[in-house]
Amino acid sequence: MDGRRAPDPLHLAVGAAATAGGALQRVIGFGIDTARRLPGVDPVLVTLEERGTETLRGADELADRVLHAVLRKVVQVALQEVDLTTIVRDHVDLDVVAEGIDIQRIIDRVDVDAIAARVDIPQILDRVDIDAVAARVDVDAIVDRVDVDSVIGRVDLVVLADTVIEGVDLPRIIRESTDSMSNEAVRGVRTQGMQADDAVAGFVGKLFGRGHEPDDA
Amino acid sequence: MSAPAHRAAGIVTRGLACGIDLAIVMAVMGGIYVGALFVRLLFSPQEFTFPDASALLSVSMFIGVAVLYLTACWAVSGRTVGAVIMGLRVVSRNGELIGWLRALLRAVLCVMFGFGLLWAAVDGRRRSLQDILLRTAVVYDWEPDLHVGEPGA
Repeated sequence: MDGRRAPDPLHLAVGAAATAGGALQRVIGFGIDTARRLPGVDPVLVTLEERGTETLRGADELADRVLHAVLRKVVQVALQEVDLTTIVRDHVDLDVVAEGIDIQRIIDRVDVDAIAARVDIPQILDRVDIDAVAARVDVDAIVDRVDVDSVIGRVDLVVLADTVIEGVDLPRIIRESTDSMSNEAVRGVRTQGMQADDAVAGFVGKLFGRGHEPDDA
Repeated sequence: MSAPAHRAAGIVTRGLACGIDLAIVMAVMGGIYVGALFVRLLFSPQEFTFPDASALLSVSMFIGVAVLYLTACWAVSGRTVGAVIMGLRVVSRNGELIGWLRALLRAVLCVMFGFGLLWAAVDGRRRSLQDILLRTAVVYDWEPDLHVGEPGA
């Protein structure tokens, strides 16, 4: 207090009440202490205290019951009024919550085999109409969405082609194939010519009544 | 398939070889004709016209080219291009090359009297008239080089 500020009336009132309460407490305490000293008063006081304690306990229990009932009703009404899902979605960071969940442990605890044993797959398959599903799939749309050019663009065709060509000894293949081709062709022509020669000779031989083959002497 | 023995070649292979040689001679003549055209164009480009191919000139040129070609081929290796393709060789009776003189005579006879080849079809030893006259033979020989001493004819 520096005297320049006006005293707060609220503070003044509280201070006055506290002073009065303290004085009253001291007066009552002094009264009780004095009364105890008088003979025959103490037992009465003890009885009074016990009675007070019991009454307070009873009041406590009553208050508990009332409070429970009231609270139950309040929560019920509140839940009816409030959309809890929206609140959670709006105010709870579900990602953080999910991070705290140890999925692996949950999975470990789940007996997948038992679940699988209970699944009747043929029955499920019977219920699924695959044809209808397939009819609903628009393959053209899927194909349209695939960007073949970009896929091809990602493949380095030049390197691929180089690798393939490196693995192939093209000159050797061409040499061998043309060699064998020309050899085969020439051999074929010559062999055919010889056979034709023999055929003609045989025919002429028959025509002139000669022996089967001319003597080459 | 291994190469056959050096036995006398028949009318079909020899006829095919003749046809191939004829085509080559014609090609050479065509080349000469085109070459002559270029020469004419080079020396007188102003009054250039396509020359009329005179029949006499063409025939004599054909005979000259063919005789030269056949003589050279037979004397050097015994085989013309047609003979190489068909696997033939012209040899003497003892299986050797026939020499320049006989090659020249045979070439002239073959060019002038080509029908003589037809006799090979009916002759018992598959000889053409030229073979009979000049004592030569045409044998199968698929090897590139002449192997003297193993004649089939």
